[in-house]
Amino acid sequence: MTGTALDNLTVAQLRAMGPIIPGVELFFDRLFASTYTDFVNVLYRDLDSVLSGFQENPELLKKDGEDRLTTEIKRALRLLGYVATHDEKIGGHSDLVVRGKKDGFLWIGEAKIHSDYDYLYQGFQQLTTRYSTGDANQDCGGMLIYIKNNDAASVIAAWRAHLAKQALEGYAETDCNERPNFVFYSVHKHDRSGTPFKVKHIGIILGFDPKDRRPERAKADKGPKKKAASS
Amino acid sequence: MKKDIVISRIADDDPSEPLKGACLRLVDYIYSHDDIAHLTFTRLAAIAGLDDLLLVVQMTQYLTGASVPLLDMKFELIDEDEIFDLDPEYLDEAQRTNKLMHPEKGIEVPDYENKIYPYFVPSRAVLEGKQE
Repeated sequence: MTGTALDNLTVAQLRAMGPIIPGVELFFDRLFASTYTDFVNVLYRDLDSVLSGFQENPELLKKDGEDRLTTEIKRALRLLGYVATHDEKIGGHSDLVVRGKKDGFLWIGEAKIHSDYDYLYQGFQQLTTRYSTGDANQDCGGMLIYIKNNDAASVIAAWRAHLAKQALEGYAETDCNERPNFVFYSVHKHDRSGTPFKVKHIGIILGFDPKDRRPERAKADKGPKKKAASS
Repeated sequence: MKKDIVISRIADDDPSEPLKGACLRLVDYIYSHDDIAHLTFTRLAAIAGLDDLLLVVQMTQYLTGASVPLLDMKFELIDEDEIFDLDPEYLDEAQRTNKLMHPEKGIEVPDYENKIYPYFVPSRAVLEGKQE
């Protein structure tokens, strides 16, 4: 790196660094997010990037609980410049609260390690009836679904069907173009505000069950048993 | 915003080294100097003791954000050897329309992203904290 190279850094060059430096690609989108829609759009792209990093190292997160995982997301978002908190008191202890540079922009995420669909629905209800107001500039939220078992696509498909069966007024859902098997969007009439509340449901693939070493272990396990049987 | 609050937020966020040390060095500098008007990437790198471009950009991204608002990012347009300060509204508009209108000539600036240079100043929150 030379001094000249840094002094001559233009907006175009910063943008070109996007693929190299995590988060830089969206530097300007974040900086100039002047509407709530802009804020949520760039937040979702940042979240995708952070969660993609999680998915690359599931073995490191195997023993982590909901709080630990969410704290890591919070930390990553803060380093990107967001005001993000974990366990902030908003109607209850919200898992992930993200605020924009502009006053009033608020996004709340509810995080759950998948165990069963009633548990996920409990989280959805916490998000939509306890933590969020549904007011303007805070009418989007997210379900972060940590899936530690295999076949994440089936989990999300079953959760989507489970949610669709609930009696939510004005309920509708849409696909996610980027990760259609693992992410979808829902909207329904928010109880408190009476206006539409949009939720992004994000499946995070954290299953880790490598089978490459199993034959050896099985072979090793079989050895002594055979010996015992023959003696 | 007082210096101890900034330091405490950085400690809570706990960026990995060498980013954390660089941020703290920059905080020290900002709070111990007055009349800081124009910090380029090069100047920030020197103050923070960084020689890695990627880290310098990551540091500015963190310290211009809403979580630790130490710096404000500003922009200047350098066009045919003339320098013009750009209000954020110009860039905001350019971001949405993909067109930048020259702040004085009122005509479209071709290839504008290659002519805009970011620089940094202490944020209003920091300036107010210094006066308290």
